[in-house]
Amino acid sequence: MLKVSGLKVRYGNREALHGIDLEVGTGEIVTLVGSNGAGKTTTLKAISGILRATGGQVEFGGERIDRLSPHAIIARGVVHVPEGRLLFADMTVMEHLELGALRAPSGKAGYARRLDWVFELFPVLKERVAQRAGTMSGGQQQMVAIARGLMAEPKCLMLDEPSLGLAPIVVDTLADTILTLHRAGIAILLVEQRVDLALRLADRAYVLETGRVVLSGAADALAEDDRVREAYLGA
Amino acid sequence: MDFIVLGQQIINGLVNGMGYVLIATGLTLVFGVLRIVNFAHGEFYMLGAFLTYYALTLFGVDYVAAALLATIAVAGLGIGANRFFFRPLRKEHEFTILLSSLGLSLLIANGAEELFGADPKYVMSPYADEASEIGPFVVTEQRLIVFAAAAVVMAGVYWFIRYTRMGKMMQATAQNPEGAALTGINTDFVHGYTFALACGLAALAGALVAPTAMLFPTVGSWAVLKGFIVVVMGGLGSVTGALLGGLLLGVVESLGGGYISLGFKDAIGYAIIIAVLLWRPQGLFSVSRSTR
Amino acid sequence: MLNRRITVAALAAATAIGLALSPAAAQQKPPVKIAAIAPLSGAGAFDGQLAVEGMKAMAEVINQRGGILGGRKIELVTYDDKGTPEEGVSAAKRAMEQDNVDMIVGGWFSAVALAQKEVTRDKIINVMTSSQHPNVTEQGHKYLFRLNATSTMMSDTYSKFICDKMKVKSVAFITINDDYGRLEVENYKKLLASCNIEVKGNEFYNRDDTDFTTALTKLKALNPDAIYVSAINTSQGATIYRQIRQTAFKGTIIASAGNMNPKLIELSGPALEGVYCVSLFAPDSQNSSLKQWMTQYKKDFKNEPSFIGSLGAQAVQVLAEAADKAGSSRDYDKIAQTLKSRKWDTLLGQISFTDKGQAMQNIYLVQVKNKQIVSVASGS
Repeated sequence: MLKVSGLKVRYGNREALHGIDLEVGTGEIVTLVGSNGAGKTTTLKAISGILRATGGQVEFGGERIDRLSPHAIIARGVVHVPEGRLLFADMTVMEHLELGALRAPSGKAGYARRLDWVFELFPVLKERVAQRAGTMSGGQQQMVAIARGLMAEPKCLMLDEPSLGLAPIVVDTLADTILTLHRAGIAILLVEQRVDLALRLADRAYVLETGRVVLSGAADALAEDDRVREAYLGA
Repeated sequence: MDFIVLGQQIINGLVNGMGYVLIATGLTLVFGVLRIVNFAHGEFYMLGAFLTYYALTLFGVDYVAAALLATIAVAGLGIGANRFFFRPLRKEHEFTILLSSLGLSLLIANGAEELFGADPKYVMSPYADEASEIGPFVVTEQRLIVFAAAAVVMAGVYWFIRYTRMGKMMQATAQNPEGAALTGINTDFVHGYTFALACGLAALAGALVAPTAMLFPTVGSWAVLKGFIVVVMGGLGSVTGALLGGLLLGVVESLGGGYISLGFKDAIGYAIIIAVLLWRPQGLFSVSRSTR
Repeated sequence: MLNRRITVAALAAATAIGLALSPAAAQQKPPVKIAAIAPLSGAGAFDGQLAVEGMKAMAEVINQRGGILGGRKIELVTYDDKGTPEEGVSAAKRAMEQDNVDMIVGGWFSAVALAQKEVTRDKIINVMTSSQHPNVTEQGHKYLFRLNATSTMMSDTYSKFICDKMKVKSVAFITINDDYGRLEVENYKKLLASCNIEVKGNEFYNRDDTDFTTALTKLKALNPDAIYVSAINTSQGATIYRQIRQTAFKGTIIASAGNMNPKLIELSGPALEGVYCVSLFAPDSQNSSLKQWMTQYKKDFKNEPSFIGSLGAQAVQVLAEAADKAGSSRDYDKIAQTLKSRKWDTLLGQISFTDKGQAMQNIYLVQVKNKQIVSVASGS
């Protein structure tokens, strides 16, 4: 469904991605593993249109999307929940959800239904609809970010470091949420610092090093791979 | 007797201040949403006043229609300025954009001098000379209109930003541009109408204030200066700050000019800027940087 | 600005055509060449244009009567001094050395006049026009004359008018915050005290102010019979008069000497009705040479005849008559002596010159009535 081939990105005259190939199938959970600076976030930003690819292409549902603006890409169902959440500090939870629904294909008609679903997923947000995002805890902010993304009715949800800065108990809830979304049929491209967690959740995984894919395969197989265990699982 | 003079000076100050508010609101919106310090902002004030003048003298429409036409036309020019001038510069360093806007300002002001002539003009409003006496106080109808129209427009702007979808898109873009883009907001579109709104407000200020004084092509530098003083007082990016800051500046100038020395009147603005930057760089009224 | 350029270009073209045609018209006798040095570009361009127009209209009036010195026509040669001393000096040199003119009219700005008089010193008859600086004549030369009244001459006469004609017991001032404004206030305080008019207060404004309501609110609270407005800049003046009206002040308004013109009336609208001023130029005067000149001016140009234009015309008029009486356009000693020896009936009334070449002009008290400048009294 999402197919990235030969993707290159430059920052000024430094090339950060040297030609990435990856694929996310319908309803699949795929994870990108790699150390800081390997190019995981850059890959997601290039897919969501925040960064312009300087080479290669991105296809979604058979259509090229690498020349589209971010809002057009979202309208096609590829939604990026960014690292650091990038919320609107002075706006309320409800306003985030309203804005999240801007590009939803089902439009106004589906709005109430989606809202109910999001509140079912994150009951705590329903109690805090009028609270400003900037005054919430890290875990709650992450919920707002994911909820905002879900309001756009994604077919493919890209999550960048969702567990960053969260308490362990909250991380467990987050993992449950990801599995719930998976069961709802949403394809997920996950970038996660906690490689053990990521590999446990994912169907398949890609290992990135300095802007290249160096390993790929089934997640459980990679979890057993010595190189991965040494480099990322601390074994 | 003294209280009457005091009251009259406060009234004068509030009216002048409302003009500053309209100018400063546009300046603060463009900074808040686009992070552009736009030195050319005053030129849109000048254009608003001149277009009102030409609509009156060339097309013979009445003052209110002329003011509205000028406001709409300059709002359109604002969209053009963003599309063809500021957008191509977006990736440049902030300082480059700032200098470029200064260049644009000089370009427009000199162009206007060529086009409109350097001799002063007067925007004829039927309300300009009719003084209404309210108790012991004297205010012209035009000055009442400046205050009332600006108050209504500011309430409208506040409502627009706070409660409409387009307004919320502006807030989101101001608070987190990348987050806004990833939420599906077309930030180019937001930038476009932010410029339209900002320039329209400046033009409206020009159209409203012009009949209280004479008009010449270099009036824009005065307007942008007052705007910046208010924006610094109120906090960059804050609309509420612009409102309170503008009114406060108007009243302080009026009282300072009236009770200390008229020569000191303009200096008060600069003194306030220095004091604010030293002790409260986030602005006198601001809680955080946002368009609220 | 564009308009102005076109007008200046048209003037230049007209001059060129005039030059091309004149030899045929006055074949027998050479013309009397008078240099018209004025600011035709830069900030003073509009004033310069008015000045040259005034001179041309007067030259035309004289030429239609058959010229001077037995049929010689007046020919004006225009030069742009750009309002700067350097260009004024250079223009005077070109006029004398290249174009071999008979006499020079210039000095619209004091700075230009002060520099220019050194080039013409004791060499050529040089009439300075609107400049007011005392040193133009105090340190003049034997061939130098100045038409405009100095500021002291003006204020002496004006204060007499205020004392005698306006029936006010108190006055408040709004004046520009510079040497000119400060001197003026000090001067009038003394002059008005002599006829027991109380000066209730003064507010200084700055050169780039656009809002005067603060100052006017203070002045109005003092409840004076009259407000004296010192404003040289037409734009600021118009704003002040409008805002005085907006404060609902009902007393007398007095404009500083010489600062009344059609543009100010146009910009100020009803706010200028009844405002007093003094001027050497009263457009409604019954003087016959003024009427002739105004008719010619309105025929040739689209601007309203102005004080500045009338001063240019006066320069041409006295030079033509003096040369005629002296019997020469080149015997400068004789022309200068003739100028100083008698009274001259000019379009601005009867004038005479002091030994230093300073004109003693007739000064009119004028008032704006129905958007026209109307004379109410005259003195000197």
